[in-house]
Amino acid sequence: MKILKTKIIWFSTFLFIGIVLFAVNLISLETNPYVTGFSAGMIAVSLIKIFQFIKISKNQKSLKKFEIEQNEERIMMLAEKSGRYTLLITIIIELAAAIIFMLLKKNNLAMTLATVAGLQTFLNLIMYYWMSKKF
Amino acid sequence: MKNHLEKLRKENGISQEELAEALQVSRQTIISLEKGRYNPSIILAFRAANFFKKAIEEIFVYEGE
Repeated sequence: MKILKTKIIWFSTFLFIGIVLFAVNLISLETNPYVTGFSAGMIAVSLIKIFQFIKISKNQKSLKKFEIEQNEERIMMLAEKSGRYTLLITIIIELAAAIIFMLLKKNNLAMTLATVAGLQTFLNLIMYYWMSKKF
Repeated sequence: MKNHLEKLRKENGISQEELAEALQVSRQTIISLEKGRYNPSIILAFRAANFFKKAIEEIFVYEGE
């Protein structure tokens, strides 16, 4: 139940941020359609997740299954592996896009992408170092 | 790594769902273990061994690299 409660708190926070963003954007003089879309998406996803968690909490069998799945070693391994591949693919795409933008003489975009890729790699190294000290 | 989980489970007349509940994992993990697609942690291997009252090496067989 503790994991579920934590998740409900997190998604309630996202819901609150989404509502605030949506409201502030709506009452501002120049409404930004990107912020409207982003905040509406945040509200929708948070509401769906909160509804899902409440539904799980009301069914003992679903709750037990949910708690097992949250702490399960195979699911954790899958999450770690998919995260690792996502990082690798993201960096490759960013660097490929940076090269394309450089060839198109859009140096600012190329520089931004290369910097982001560099920062991600650096952060990954720091996390690896920190983890290796911890475990 | 090879394992005899499926054989032992069937011998004991247990469903995948029941074994999953006993080992505190999902049914999907039991399926992956039985198909040899996933190698368990030492903790999960001990849990399985305790559940079937066998030694770990009687359930999980290390076949080398």
